[in-house]
Amino acid sequence: MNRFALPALIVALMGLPLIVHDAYFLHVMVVIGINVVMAVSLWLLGITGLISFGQAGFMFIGAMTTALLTKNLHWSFWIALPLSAAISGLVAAPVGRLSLRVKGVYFFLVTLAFGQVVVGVFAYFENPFGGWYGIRNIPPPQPAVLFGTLDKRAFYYLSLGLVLVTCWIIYRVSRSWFGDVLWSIREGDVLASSIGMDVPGSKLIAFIVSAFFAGAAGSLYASYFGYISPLVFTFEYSVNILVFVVVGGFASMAGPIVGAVVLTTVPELFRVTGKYQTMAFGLILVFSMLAMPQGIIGAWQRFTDRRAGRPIERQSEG
Amino acid sequence: MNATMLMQTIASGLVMGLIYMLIALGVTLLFGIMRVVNFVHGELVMLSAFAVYFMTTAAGLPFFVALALAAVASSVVAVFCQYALFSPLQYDILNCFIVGIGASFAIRSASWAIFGPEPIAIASTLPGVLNIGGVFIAKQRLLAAVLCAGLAILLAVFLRYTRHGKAMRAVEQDREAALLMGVNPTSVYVTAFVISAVLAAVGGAMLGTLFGVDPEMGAEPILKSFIIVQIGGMGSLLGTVIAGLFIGLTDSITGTLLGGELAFIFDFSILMLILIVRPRGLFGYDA
Amino acid sequence: MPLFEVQNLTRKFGGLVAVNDVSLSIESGEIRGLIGPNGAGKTTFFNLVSGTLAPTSGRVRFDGHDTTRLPMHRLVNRGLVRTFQHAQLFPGFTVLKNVLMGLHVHARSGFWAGLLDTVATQRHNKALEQRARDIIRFVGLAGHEEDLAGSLPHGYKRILQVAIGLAPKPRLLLLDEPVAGLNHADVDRMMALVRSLRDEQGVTVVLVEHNIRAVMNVCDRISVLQFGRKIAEGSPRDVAQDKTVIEAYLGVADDDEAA
Repeated sequence: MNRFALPALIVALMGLPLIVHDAYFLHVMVVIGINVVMAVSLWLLGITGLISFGQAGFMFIGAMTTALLTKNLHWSFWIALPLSAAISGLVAAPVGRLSLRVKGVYFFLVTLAFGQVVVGVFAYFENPFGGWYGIRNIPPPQPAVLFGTLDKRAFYYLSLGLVLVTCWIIYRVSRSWFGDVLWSIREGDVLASSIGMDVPGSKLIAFIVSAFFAGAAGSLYASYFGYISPLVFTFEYSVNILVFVVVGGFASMAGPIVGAVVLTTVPELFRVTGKYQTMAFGLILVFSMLAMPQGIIGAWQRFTDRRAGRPIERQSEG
Repeated sequence: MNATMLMQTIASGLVMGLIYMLIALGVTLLFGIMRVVNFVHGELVMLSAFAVYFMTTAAGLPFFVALALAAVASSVVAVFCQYALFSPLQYDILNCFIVGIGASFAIRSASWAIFGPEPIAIASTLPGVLNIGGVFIAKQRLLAAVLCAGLAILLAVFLRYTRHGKAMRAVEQDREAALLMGVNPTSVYVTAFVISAVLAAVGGAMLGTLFGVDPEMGAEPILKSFIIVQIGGMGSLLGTVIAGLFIGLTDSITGTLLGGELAFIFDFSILMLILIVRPRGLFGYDA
Repeated sequence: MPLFEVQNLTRKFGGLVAVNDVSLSIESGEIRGLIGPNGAGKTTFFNLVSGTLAPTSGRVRFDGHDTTRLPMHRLVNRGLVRTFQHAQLFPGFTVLKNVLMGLHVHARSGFWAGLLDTVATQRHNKALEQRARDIIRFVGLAGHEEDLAGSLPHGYKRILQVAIGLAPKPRLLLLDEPVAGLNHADVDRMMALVRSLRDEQGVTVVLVEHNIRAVMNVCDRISVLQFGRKIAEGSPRDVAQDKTVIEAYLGVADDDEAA
C-alpha cells in the first residue's frame, strides 16, 4: 500500500455518510466497527501465540457496565465508555494471572470457561444484571438530538472513531519493541526468557489490553443496540471473532480488519443469520485452517510476491 | 435439606458424574495418546444419541443393538475427522483445537437444521423406579451408572492387560521410544479415536435416555469434560475418574441448593483453584 | 573476589541426586570448561545456576550478590546469560532481528514506551540496531543480516546463538554444548569466537562440552563432573592426567572425542 492509500481511505470513510444515507448500510458499518475492534484486540493477544475464547465475556462485562451506569445511574455515556473498558481490563488482570499459568490448549480451555462464567453470572442474577432477559432500554449517548434519532450517522462516526483509536494504538504497540517482545514469545518463549524478556508479564499486558478494547466494543454495543442479553455474548461469538482473524490472516493487523469486514458484510448480503451463520462460520473456519492458513492477507501477499518474483517467505511480523 | 434429600442428591450426582466421567475419559484418552483435544467429541455424543433414538423408534431395534450400532457410527465419524481434519494439520494441538471447533459448530448447526431445536425423548429401556433405603433411583439411571462404571473398568483392564492397550500406554508415555520398539502408530492412533468415540456414544445414549435428545446436547458435556479433564489432569485416566465423580456430585449439590447456572460457576471456581494450587491438575503431567 | 561462585549446590529429583554438593569458583576473565560423561549433571548444573531450575540446596553468587533463586530474565539484567543445547533461535526472524531481540534488555520495550514512541526512544532504539550489526560483524556473520535464522546452516545457527547471547552485554556467558553436532571447521571457528569473546569483549565464559579436544584447547581451567559430583578441577593438562577423570571416561564406549 502506498503512502496515500491509508489517509485516503480514512477520508473516504469519514465522508461516506454524507453520500450514503441508507440507514441499513450505516447500521452494518456500525456492526463492522464493533467486530473490527474485537478482532484487532484478539489479534494483539494472538501475537504472543495465545488465543482467548472468552473475549465475548470481556465484551459482556464492558456492555453490562455501560448499561448499568447509563441506565440505572444516569451517567453520561462518554464517561461510561472508558470506564467500561477499564473495568474489563481490571477484571482481566486476575483472570489473566490465573489463566496464564497454563499454556497452549489448556489456556484456550480456561478462557473458554471464563466466557461461560461471565454469561452464567449475568444470567443467574436477574437483579441487577437482568438474568436471561437481559437489560432493555439502555439510553443512547448524549446529545440525544444526535444519537437518539433513527438517523444512524452519529453512531457511525462514534464507531469509526473507536475503530481508528483502537487500530492506531494496537498498531503502534505491535510495531514497537513491546510488539517485538510479543512476537518473540510466539517464536520461542524459552529463548525470549533467556534473553531477559519478561514473558509472563508481557503476556499479561497483552491479555489486559485486549480485554480493555473488548470492553470498549461492548460499551458501544450496549449503547447502540439499547439491549443486551446473555444470548448475545456467547462462545459462538468468541469463535466468530477468531474466525475473523484466521480468515483475514494473522501476519499483520490488516488481517483481522479484512476478516472482520468481509465476514460481517457477506453474511449480511446473503441474509445468513442464526444457526446457518454458525454453520457457515464453522465450515469457513475448517476450510481456512486446512486450505488457507495464512488467511486472505497471506494469500494476497503470496500472490503479489509471486508476481514480483520475490521469494515467498514466511512472515512473522506485520 | 434432610438426610433423604441429601442421599437423593448424592445418588443423582453420582450418576451424572459417571456419565460425564465416561465422556471425559474419551477426551483425556485422546489427549494422552495423541496430544489432541478433539472438540468434535461433544458432537459425537449428540450424534450417537440421535442415532440411538432413530434406531429404536424408526427401525424398531432393541436398545443395546442400537447402542452398538451408534458406537460404530460414532467411530466412523471420529476416524473420518482424524483423517480429514487432524492428520492434515499434523496433529498440532492448537490447530486441531481450532479446526475441531469449526467442525463442531458446523455439525451442531447442521443437526439443528435437520432435526429442529426441540428435544426428543428416547423411551426408557428400563422403566420403573427402585427404592433403596428410602432413596428413589430410576432404574434407567442405575443402568446408566452401571454401564458407565463398567465401561470405565473395561477400559482400565484393556489398557493395563491387553497387548494393544499396553502399546497405547507406551505411546502415551514416550512416542518415539514406542515407535522404535515396533509399535504400529496408525493402529494405536485409530484405536484411540475409536475408543474415545465409543465412550462418547455410550455417554450420549445415556444422556439421551435420561434427558432427551437435541442438537445442542453436546455442548454442555464437552465443556464439562474440559473442566473435569483439567482438574483431574490432562492425560490421566484416574484423575478424570475422580474429577468426573467430584464434579457430578458438586453439580448436583449446588444445583439442588442454589440453581443450575451457579453449578457451572462453582465448577469454574474449582478449576481456578486448581490452577492456583496445581496447574497441571491433580494427576496431570506438566502443562 | 571471584565473579561467579557456586557453593554446595545440590538438586534432587525424588530419589535421584542429579547435582550433588558441587562447589565452583570462577574468576573474572576466565574461560572455564565443564565436562563429564553423559548423565554427569552438567546441563542440570547450568539449569540450576541460570534461573531455569531451583536447587534443592546450596547457593549461587554472581558478582557478589546471591542469585540462587532469581528467574532467568532477572539474571540477564545482571549480566548472566545462558545459551541452550538445541539451537534456540527465532527461526522466522532474520539474523539481524534475532540479535536485536537479544538487545531487548537495553531497549525501551515497555508497553507505554512503545505506544508513546518519543524521539528519545526512537534514537535510543536506533543505536541498538547499530550495536546489533556490530555484534553480527564480530561473530563473523556479516552479510547474513537479512537471512532467515531458520534457513542458516547448522554451524552458523550455533554462532548466531552465541551472538544473541552476547547482545545483552553479559559479564558471564554460559554456553551449553556450543559445538555439538558441528564439523571440525565449525568447531574451530566457534572456539576462536569463544577466545575472542574473552580477549576482546572481556566476557567470562563457562562451557559445557563433550568435545574434549575443543575444551582442552580453549579453556583456562576445567571442572569435571561425574554422577553429579565434582571429581576434579584444574588446568587442562592436570585434568587430562588425573586418574579419577580417566577412569570416569573409560566406561564410555563411544570415545572418539576423548582422545
